[in-house]
Amino acid sequence: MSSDRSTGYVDTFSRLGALLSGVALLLMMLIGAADVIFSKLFNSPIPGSFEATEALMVVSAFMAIGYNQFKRGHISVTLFTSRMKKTPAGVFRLISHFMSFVFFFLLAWQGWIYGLHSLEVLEYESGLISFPVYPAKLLAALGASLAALQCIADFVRKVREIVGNEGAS
Amino acid sequence: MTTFEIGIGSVVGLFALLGMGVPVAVSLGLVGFVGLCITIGPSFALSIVQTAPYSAVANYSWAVLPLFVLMGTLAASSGMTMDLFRAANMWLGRIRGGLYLTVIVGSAGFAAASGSTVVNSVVFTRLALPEMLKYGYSRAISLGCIAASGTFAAMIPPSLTMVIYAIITEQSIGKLLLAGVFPGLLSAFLYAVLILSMVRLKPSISPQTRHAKYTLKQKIHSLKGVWGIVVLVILVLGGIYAGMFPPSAAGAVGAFGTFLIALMKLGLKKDWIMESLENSAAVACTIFTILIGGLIFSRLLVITGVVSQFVDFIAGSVQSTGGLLALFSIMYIVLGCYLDTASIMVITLPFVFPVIVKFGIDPIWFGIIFVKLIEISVITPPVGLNLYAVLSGAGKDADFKDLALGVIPFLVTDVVTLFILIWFPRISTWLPETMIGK
Repeated sequence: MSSDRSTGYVDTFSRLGALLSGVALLLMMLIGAADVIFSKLFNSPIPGSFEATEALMVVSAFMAIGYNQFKRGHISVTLFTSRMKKTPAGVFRLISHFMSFVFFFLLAWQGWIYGLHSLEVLEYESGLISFPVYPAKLLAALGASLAALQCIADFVRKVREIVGNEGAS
Repeated sequence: MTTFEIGIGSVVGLFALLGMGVPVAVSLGLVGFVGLCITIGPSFALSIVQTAPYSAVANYSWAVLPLFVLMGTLAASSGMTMDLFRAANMWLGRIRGGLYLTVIVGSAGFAAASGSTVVNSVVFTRLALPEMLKYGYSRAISLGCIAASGTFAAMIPPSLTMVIYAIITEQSIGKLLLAGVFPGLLSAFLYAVLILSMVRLKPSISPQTRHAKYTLKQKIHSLKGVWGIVVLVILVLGGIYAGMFPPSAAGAVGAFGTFLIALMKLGLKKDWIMESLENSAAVACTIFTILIGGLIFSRLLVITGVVSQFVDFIAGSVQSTGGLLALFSIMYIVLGCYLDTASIMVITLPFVFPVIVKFGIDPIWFGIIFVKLIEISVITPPVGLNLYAVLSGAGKDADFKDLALGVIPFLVTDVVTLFILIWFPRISTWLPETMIGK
């Protein structure tokens, strides 16, 4: 029961990540459009819009990875596994979740090192205005961590499903 | 183990993981990482994993990608397609085979707001297929027409395929988008010619019309729902062509314009806004994750020298540009049976593009040929991606055999279009060459 609850929590976090990702995308659109309108009509571009777009894009891309994993939105080749019986297909799915975990764990681990270093030196990008880089780097690491967690949750769920099937048959 | 052997081993390992159903992004990233660990050591490999993902995404010129995705999703949820379909139907419905033409024109119009061939196919299957079956149109040709017309989204800007090609090959996104305008229109025109010829040769595929007759006033009135898309196209493409703003800003303007149109039609409600944002973020994230994995993998390919050996091998065995294009054409059509467009590009372009450069082929022109090949591959039975999109949209109204038969005339037409595009490069290169904001 408790593992049910924990996988449920992970799903909720992934969903929240996707929400943040969507909001970042909305802001990218609004800032980009406002910048064009202000620079063409009033000849005064919005300072920092370039840097903000880059940062928001990072947030948008990384914060949705976990949700994509949950929804099985990451593209994979199902030509062979879709023709297998339930149990072998389930085993391959387990391998897939494990591999995904390793990859996202690597991204998260290295991402935190990268992000925390950026925070330590308070890294800024110099443009029309100085724009802080570290929040986006930290959020990228958080996004990759959510994805790694989601892989564990999916792995646990799959194991339970396979064991349940075996038990039933 | 030589570095070259490691490179070859990595390619084999990649296909093994893909075959096991491991996500494309993960397969690319992991194989790349392990390969780098073996060739240059774990600490260097980890440093690439540390910096590559962030630097891959934090790039202003790539903002065009998620913004175009958002533009397409908003256009689909705004009901804009319904207006387009209605207007096209009023103007063309009474011509024999009119509904086929309506699908072609409507899909080409929607392609000017959407960049995904799959979305185009699904939307038009739901919209047009019931109408076509109701009027007694041939089920096979209707399905084929919808699947094939869906591919316009890859060529007619804003095209995601074109943007990803530009990102991977480091070409001008603006030039590539503009290069797709005439080839896209040519494809639509040749489909229309095909339909008119087929209806004449085999009238049974389209029954005598029982369509309602509309007055000119009604027809002009129907265009009311289409003005939004026209304004958007002029803004986005005109802005890029005139050099008023870079493609990323054009993406923001296009998405914002579509957002306003959707807002006028649907009102300020939480559900469609949240759904569009969440779906777009998920689609853009899928592509970005593949690009991140691809970046790590391509570092390995470069370091091991597999790419340069591949280039030398191809240059040694293929003598002419025609032979090279034929070779790549076959390769892409086969790969299209197994992989989606973004994955095909990330996996193959690091090999293929250096060969193109070595042969002195114009990268923009090759981009168009490449996109046409992708368009063909997504409707080639038995595994074309668009065919499945149409099947999933049609539910019980379709079976695969019908669809596979119905799409053949369109495939043949596409091959003719491909030859025309190869024969007359100016169709693709003229517009980007004349653009003001280079």
